[in-house]
Amino acid sequence: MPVRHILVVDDDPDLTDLVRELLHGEGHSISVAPNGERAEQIARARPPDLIILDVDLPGMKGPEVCRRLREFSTAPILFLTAASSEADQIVGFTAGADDYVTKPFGPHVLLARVRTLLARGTRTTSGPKLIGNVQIDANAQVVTVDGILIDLTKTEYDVLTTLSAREGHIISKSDLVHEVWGEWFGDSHVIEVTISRLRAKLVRAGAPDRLITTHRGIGYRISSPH
Amino acid sequence: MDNIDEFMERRRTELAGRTADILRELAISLNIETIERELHRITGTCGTYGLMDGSRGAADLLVRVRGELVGGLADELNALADVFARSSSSGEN
Repeated sequence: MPVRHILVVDDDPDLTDLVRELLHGEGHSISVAPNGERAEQIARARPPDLIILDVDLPGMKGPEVCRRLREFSTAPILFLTAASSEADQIVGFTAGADDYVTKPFGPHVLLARVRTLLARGTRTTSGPKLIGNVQIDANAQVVTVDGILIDLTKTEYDVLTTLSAREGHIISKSDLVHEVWGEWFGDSHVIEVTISRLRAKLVRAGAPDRLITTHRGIGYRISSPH
Repeated sequence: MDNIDEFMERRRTELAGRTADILRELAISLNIETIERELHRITGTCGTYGLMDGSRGAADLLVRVRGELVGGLADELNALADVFARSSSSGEN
């Protein structure tokens, strides 16, 4: 099983120690944040594969933290809370949570939920993603620039969604190959040609020409130029 | 999973003792906001560590505190502290 980065957001050290011990046993890398502000800092610096988030945090409450994390992260979010009412669950799901575990919980139950969410991978966003004037609708599998539909090949679309899933972060050429092409048999120039074609189509439609940037010897990044 | 069971067992007695001390302090200070926050935490965390009697007692008391149905709150908190103190000394849940 690959090592995953899991961010645990809870202000109770007894609880976070237990969750840390539990997930370390699975071989995962764990970061702990006692509040929403720290959680956001960690998630921006090192994007997590899964976030376990307490609802009753001091200061910014769990649903608000969830909404803020959802602005830049597609990692699954598991709410951990002592509140078990249906209304609390609805608030959590509305804010963007993927699952819900009520305290007190059995460690086996938490572990099973974590395994399921990690296996499911990053969530399919419910709405389109907007980067600058480029809108990517993963559900409809269409890309528009200023509302005008762009005709992309499947490979170009896959490259764009892979880059956009880690918006603002450089993705290495090898990671991009792995995500888009899987097992690689071809010429590495195909990546450069695909990026070049994709960039040209987007720019021709009115996207900023610095939307996708090449970082020589490192990889590629998509971000909205300021 | 053996490791996590051992970890919880190691921490359980110490957590029960610490919780009993917290509850006795709350019975003296009687700060409702702190009592509510601590009972909420005790319900979730102590229950997760397997201190079920204390966790259920904290949950019941929390409902009554929120409903302002508590008379003799200090006595109630001390009684709950006794539940945790028994877990701390006997190692039972």
